[in-house]
Amino acid sequence: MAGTRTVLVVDDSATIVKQLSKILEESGRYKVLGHSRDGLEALKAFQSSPPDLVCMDVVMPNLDGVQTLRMIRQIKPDARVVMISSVGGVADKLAECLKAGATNVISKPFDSAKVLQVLDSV
Amino acid sequence: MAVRFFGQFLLENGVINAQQLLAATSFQEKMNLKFGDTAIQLGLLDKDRLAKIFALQRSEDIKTGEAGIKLGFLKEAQVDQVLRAQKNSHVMIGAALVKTGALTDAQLSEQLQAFKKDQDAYQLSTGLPQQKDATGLAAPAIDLTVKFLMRLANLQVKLLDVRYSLAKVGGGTTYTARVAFTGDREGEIALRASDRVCAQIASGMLGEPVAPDAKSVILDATSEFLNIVGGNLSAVGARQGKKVELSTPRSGDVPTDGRNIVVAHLGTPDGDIEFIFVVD
Repeated sequence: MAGTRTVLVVDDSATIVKQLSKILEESGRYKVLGHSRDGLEALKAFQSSPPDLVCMDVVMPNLDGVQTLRMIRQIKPDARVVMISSVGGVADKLAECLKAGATNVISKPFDSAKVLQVLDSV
Repeated sequence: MAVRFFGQFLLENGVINAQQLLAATSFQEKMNLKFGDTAIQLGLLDKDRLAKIFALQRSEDIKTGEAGIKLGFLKEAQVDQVLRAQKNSHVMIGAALVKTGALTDAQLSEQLQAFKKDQDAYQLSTGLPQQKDATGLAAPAIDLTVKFLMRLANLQVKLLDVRYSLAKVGGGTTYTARVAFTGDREGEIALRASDRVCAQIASGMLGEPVAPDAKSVILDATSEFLNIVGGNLSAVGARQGKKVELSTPRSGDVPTDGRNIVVAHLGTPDGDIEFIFVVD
């Protein structure tokens, strides 16, 4: 993989933002451009500084992850968005994310190896 | 590391991609007939009666079979017959992936074995009387909480007992994290423990020490812990045909009036944790 890829982390939990950012930064392959606490903040951040990748939760206040994903794909149809969610193990929810344009879906709880394996393949 | 459905296990592991999974789920949607269509195929309903059932479902939140019984179109034995026929002809996601060319039979067999191994950690063991756990979800919720406390928070946890009422908070500082759910039933799950025990959960989640007085950090981490329990409970529910939709976490006392409550007392070396499952 050439160079460092930039990532926008979107989750209403500061705990998850911190966990994910640590995994990504410590790998040396990703730079976290910023983090957003809900879908509306994520859209603003995406428009002002488009990242190479978005890692986003599904259940969030204001604008949920699936709606935000659809809007991100309207702004940039080839945007690479990986959903990271505790409801990723529910088949209907997974299909909803994929139909909205998610590149992959990672279940919570996650481990660093799984996160990096999925993001490296995107 | 989480309760998954087979398709997601394959996707996360890079065995299939999103397009292949979507093609397989579309194939399933085409092949797996809904209750009404199956009943018509079996000659138990006609299109006019099915339309009347759908009309009733627009005003009442009931399943197609229940609506059929309520309108006098179906008997209970016939509903069972339709459900059995649906189950017998159901195309599973693995078979759909083979049919749509994403996997070979040999790959499917190999991946099913790997999936079984992955999910063995989530075999459920807690049993509760059915009249106390009408949704059938309180027991798996307790199991998941114990397993994730051990795995994510590195706590030695033991289920001490299960009660059906919530005592008032004793002395000292306690935190309560809550996640509401909707779906087939409405309710919430909550976790209540001393500041010291909650700080340990937060430390485990964050991988660094958290002081007992770091209230916002502790509440965020314990709420996220509960959110993970809730999300995995949704996956368990989905396997049983039950819908569980989560809301964003919150904190504060759990209202108890008129609610069905299951409280699991979990012992840890530094104090007990109460895991609370509430159905409205």
